Amino acid sequence: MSAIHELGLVETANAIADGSITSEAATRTALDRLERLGPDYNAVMALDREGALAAARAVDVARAKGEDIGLIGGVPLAHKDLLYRAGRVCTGGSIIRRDFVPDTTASVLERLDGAGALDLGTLHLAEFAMSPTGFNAHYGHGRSPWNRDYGSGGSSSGSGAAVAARLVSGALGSDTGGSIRHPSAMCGVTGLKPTHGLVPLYGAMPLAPSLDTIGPLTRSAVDAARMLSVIAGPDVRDAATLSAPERDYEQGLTGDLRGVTIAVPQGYYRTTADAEILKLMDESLAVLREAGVRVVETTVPDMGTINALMQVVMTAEAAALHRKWLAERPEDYGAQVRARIIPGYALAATRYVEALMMRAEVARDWLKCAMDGADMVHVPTLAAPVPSIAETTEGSPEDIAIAIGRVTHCTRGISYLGLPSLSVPCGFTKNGLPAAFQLVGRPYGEPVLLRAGDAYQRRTDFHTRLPPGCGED
Amino acid sequence: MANPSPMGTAAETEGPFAARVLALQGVTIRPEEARALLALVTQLNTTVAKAADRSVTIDACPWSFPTLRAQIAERGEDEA
Repeated sequence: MSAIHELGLVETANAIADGSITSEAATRTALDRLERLGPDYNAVMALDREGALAAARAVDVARAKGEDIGLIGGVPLAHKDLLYRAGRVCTGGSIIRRDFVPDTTASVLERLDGAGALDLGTLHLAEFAMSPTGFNAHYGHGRSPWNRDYGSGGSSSGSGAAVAARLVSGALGSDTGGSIRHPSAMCGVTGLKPTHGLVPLYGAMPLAPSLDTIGPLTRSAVDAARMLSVIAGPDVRDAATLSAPERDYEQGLTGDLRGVTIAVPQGYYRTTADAEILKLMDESLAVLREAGVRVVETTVPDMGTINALMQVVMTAEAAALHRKWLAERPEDYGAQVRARIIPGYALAATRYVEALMMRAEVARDWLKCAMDGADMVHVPTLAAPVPSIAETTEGSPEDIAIAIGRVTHCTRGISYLGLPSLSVPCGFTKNGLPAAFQLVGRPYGEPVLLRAGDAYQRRTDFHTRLPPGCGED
Repeated sequence: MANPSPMGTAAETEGPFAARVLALQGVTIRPEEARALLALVTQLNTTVAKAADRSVTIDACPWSFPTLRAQIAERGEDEA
């Protein structure tokens, strides 16, 4: 059997369930690695070693008694520090909430608890979840396990780095304009941004509730499917989820994609992409063809308008949520975060309402053009190689804005559309950093995305590659 | 006194813009931020207004996306 830290989430759950390893051993391994390697990537906010070990021992006792320990029984996980757990500090990556102790627990954490998962602690994120690169003016930049001169991606920066470096086998992140997909792509892990309204947001610090989603960052699509099966579904504390289906997302992961059609939209996603990214995209499509996929070319509507609609919704909602603090404590906001919020104070209220009114029609139009009857769309997650930290923090504000804009080029519009997207690692660019493609589906189309991601990963090994220095136990 | 120019439009200048944001929202816009912010907001307001002019009718509702999602859930995965 592989070393414990090399096991994926499902493999770890299976090994604990069949007694090959104990939950205590898996938890000690994860805690040791989080403490030893976590600081190298600025991945960790806080850990609860004693509490986690006690919970692990309780799982081992339950298993020994023959009790059902759950779908993720005894598996050590850690999550983005914006998910509330009653009695535990939740900073949201901010100074303002550095001592905030919620009195409630996020629905997704309750669901993971119910499936037997262990929660070791909290992971780094961008301030108030507002940076696509993992920049945080207060807690430092999240750093890539592949090269610490590069960001781990944001805003779920610690989640991406912790999974890539094999500190934990899975972590929750949140995605409003790409915050699961950026760190997944930049760290070389698998990330699922679910359909808006599939996974309950209750107990998660909001950025823009009309766009916010919570989803897994894992090594593989099958691991993401297991986590999604646990966290998705209706919750009366989040009305947006009331029509959400409950499913076993591992069903249908057969490796066979015969009968599946993938659309590759020309134009926006490809014309601005770097040549080496396009080469990796084409190579990944060749693998998917081997699995039985039919590939068709399509087009996309005006993405400039869709990106503007997304920005209006995001900035208006974020501005409303932060107005009191920004008025009273402006010095407690980093410059990049402030710049992302303040446009919301000058937008016309009617523009915000119009942006919400148009959402379904724009989504239908995008699906009609980009998907054109196919099962999913294949586009890059990042259209350019991962930028260095220097490229996104140094230079003129205009240069920084351009560099950051390139990171979100392929992700933010999809958030406005509310569609699910699976980011899958597909190789490396010349700078040695990972690259990834996104599979974008219809609302609630996660099953076919996971099926395609899993089939791709059965034929490739990019998701199994270890960053330098992360192999030792 | 002349009528103030509409907020977040090309007609508005930086000083009145920042003063109006402070009065309405209580948030201080720093002088070095005002020009770029006004340009961005003007562009966003204009882009969304043009799109809305093309497609938003009096029957539109801001809950259009949750409605679409619920309809898809009811029809089932095959029709999604």
